[in-house]
Amino acid sequence: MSIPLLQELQQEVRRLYIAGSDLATDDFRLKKMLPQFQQLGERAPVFKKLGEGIASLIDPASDPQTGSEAKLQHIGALLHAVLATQGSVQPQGKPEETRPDHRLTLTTTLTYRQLAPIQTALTTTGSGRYEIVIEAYKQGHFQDLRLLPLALNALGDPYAELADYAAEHILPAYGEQIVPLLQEQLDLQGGKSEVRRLNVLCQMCGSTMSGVILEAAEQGSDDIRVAAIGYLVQPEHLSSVMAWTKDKKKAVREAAYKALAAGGLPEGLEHLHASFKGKDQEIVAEALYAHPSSELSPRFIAMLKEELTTAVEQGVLPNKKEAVAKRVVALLRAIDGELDNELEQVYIYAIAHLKYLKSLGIHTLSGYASEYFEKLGTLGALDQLTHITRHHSNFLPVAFQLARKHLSPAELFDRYAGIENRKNKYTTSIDTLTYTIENLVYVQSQLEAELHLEGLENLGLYSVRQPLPYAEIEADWDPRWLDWFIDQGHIELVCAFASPGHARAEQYMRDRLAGRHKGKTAPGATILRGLENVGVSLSGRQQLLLDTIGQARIYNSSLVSPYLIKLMLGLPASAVSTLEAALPYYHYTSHKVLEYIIKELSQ
Amino acid sequence: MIEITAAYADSLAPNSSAIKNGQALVQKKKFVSLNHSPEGDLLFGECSGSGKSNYLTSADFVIPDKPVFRCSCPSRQFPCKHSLGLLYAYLQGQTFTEAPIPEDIASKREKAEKREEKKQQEATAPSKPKKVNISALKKKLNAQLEGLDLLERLIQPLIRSGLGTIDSKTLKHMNSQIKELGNYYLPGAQYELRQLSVILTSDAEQELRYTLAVEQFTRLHAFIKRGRTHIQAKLDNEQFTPDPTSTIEEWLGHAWQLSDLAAHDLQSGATELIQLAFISYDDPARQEYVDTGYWLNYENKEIHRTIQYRPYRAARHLKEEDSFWEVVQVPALYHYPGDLNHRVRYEQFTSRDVTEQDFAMIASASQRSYADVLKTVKNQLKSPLADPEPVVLLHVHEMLLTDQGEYVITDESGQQLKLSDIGASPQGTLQYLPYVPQELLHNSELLVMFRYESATGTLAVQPLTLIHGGQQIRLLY
Repeated sequence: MSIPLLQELQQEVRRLYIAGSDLATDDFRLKKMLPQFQQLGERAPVFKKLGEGIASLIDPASDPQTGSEAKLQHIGALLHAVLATQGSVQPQGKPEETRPDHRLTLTTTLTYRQLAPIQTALTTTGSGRYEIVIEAYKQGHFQDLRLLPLALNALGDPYAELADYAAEHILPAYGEQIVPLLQEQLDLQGGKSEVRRLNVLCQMCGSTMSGVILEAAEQGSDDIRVAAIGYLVQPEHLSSVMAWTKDKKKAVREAAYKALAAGGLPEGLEHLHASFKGKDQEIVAEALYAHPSSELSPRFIAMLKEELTTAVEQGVLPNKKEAVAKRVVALLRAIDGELDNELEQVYIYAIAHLKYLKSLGIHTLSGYASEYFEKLGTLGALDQLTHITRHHSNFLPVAFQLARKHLSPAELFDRYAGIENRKNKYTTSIDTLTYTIENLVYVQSQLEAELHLEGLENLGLYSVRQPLPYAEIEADWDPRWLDWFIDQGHIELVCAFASPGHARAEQYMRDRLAGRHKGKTAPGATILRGLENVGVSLSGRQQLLLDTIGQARIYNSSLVSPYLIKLMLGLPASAVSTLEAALPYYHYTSHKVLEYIIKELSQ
Repeated sequence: MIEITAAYADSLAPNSSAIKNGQALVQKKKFVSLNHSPEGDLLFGECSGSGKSNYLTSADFVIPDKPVFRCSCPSRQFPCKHSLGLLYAYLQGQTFTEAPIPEDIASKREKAEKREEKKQQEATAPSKPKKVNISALKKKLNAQLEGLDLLERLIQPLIRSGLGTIDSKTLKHMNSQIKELGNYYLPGAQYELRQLSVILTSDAEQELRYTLAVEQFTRLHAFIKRGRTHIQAKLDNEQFTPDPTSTIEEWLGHAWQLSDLAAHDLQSGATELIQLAFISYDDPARQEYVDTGYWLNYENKEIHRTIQYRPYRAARHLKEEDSFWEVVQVPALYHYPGDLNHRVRYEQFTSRDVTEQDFAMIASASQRSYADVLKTVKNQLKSPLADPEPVVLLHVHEMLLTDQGEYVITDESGQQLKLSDIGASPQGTLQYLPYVPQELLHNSELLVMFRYESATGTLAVQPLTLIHGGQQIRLLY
């Protein structure tokens, strides 16, 4: 059977279906084919039938009753029947004996309903994909063979979080068996996805990959080079890495310096030190910040000392200010910040001249210095920190914490209550101070355990800020703070510090509860608790609660507080009507709580 | 006591989110009470929901093959997540306390029993011959003939002027005519024409679209021709009821009912089936989701299909089928008219775990001569109205890779078949073969799907499932 001829006819039929069967009249290609069909038709009836069909199609006059479309359809149907039996199943290449075996031990146990959503998530874009993939990973679904190609491709997912997740969790979970697959797919000229692939490879089998890494560092795309250089920290790569610090591209230089700092080899460090004096000062400083070096630090400290003394003693010309500031900032970054006598002296000197140095544009100095003295933690360090806070009140919390460690409660009060109220852009010293104290005496606590009352366990996780018990505050703090807080009008701290029988505090809190003071509203629960501390009786507090519960504002619309719940559960049954009247003002969980209390009280 | 597996519970769920939601109910401890009946054939419990009162849910295994789920929740999914949650709680080994059967369930059981009795009485009673409204059937057949004429009139101008000239206006007209065809009792014709419209408007490459459209024209041609002869013959012979020996009835759009199939003796007795492959896809031409399972029938060692159509409109309330690993035991199997993998259905089933004997059964059912298989398959493919994608279970003597990167399987006589993905199928499976362990490839059974690819003149052989040494590697689903 002449299959090529049939296929040629099929092409022609297809062409006519596209162009329209009306154009078949006198079609020269069909005309050319016709004699061959007629010739073959003498032996095979199928060819004869096809020949007749063609003849009738190109000459409409031969059978005017039938339209061209019917004739074309007729030929098409005949051709289909013949050709469908001739479909080839032969391979083009020669079979080889073996094929690479990846030694994978994956299964295909997922059902369609489990698998299809994950496949969809990894092959499409749209919301909700990330959660599906993560859930699938946690369930161990990626051990299904059919997800392996998708997991490998996920490194290039347009949603970066998903690609990172694949690199950090999904692929490493397959174990070493997928290393050859990753290596096969690695394209050194690729972008972000290939960087991830390289990272996964290096993390899974680090040193054995050095050939690939070196090749990547030399010939890869920029992204790949940067990633690969980061892994070349061994001595044998030192010369290449040092050469890359002279590269034209900044990203490559950054990576090379980082690799030198991470390697910590003497020659590499020497190179970093030398380069610091050149144009790559900032890059070197950044590299050393990421990988601090105790060998280089003393030399940088000496440089910093000289830089600062020269600047302070000889002054800086206005046009040099920027360069000096830049150098100092870089030096501060490059120093490892470990406790060191020499460095301490430099910082003390710098703090003494802080105002001038600030004017040069060296803004990061206070930060590094306060970090250093916080770590040092001595009484002397406190003095230095106090000095810094005169210029930068945002370091006040650090200084205050240290002060609490070294000073008695009375000394602490004396030192800080008289603080000068400096204003800066966003806040004042006193606000910073009260904020610091508030953070010390208020704690955030999970309520689940405490709310485990009958019928209320379905509230979910809830957390509230509550002051420490008064006994602890009384032991750790000077009693004079209370009056000071009233003077400052800081209700939260007044409530926390309220001491038994303190009439002024009681009055102040009652006023606040009645809404007679403007300013920040404190939750009613906190104030009622404060009032308990001053000595207001249970019935007094319950009455206050009933008087104010209708004003949801006073309770920040929230009744989810173990203290309040306990207080309300102790109310007499006659209080139900008041509570019911307050019900519409509370929503969600508070509403539930109130309903529960009403139910309990009415029983 | 009730014996169920997690796979069985999953298979009852209408869709995957029902499984997830059911399990979540157990995890979140939403069940207020869990009970079983003294006889141990009923699970029931209370589950708290968003409403004021708890839902009363139960799973009744009084007929073990046909569990009945009842729940007071308003969900239209069946079984609902509460009933499923009850099963998952049971599977997780939570304590079910013994309690008397609730009254309403007892009364419902009684009613069900009465219904069953009545059914049986009706079954034993000599069934009255179904009254056939001859004139209505005749009218219907004549309408169908008219419909086929209309369909022919619709596609003739398309072929005359060519696929290249089809524009949005033509398509709009075509779509309005698809609706019009609905008046002629010809859902099959409607479907085939819509298929053409779907092909022409798809975002596939133009060349592929043309190839598929030409194939569709060929199919439409055969459909009209054979449909017309079939109907005409029925009218001439005054034989108006559907003909169970021919697939043309289904092409025209006849939906066989199990009772019809049973009446025509297209029913076989108890047998076991094992699923070898599964696929679910969206068929925009039918406007339905289609779940297809390929099963080996132990009785005749043939590969059958189960097909579940889920119309878009009702998809939310219909059970989504799924891959199934266990052996299904059915009391009766209904066979649809068809080709190599004719469609089957069953009403009731129980399942059991797969054993070594089952794999021996699969091995014994596989075809060992590729030459014979190709002959059968090609014979089917030459008819444009036959299933264009026959599925066969082959024995693989060796699976090799060629120097061109093609996978080739050979039978014991050395005959080679090149494996390839079917162009129009949404899921390629060749990509997974490199990850299958070497030792599973030789002397194994391979379920493959054939399709003639007219664009390349090749017969594509796509691997679906590899079976070796007591495990199924499902490359599809």
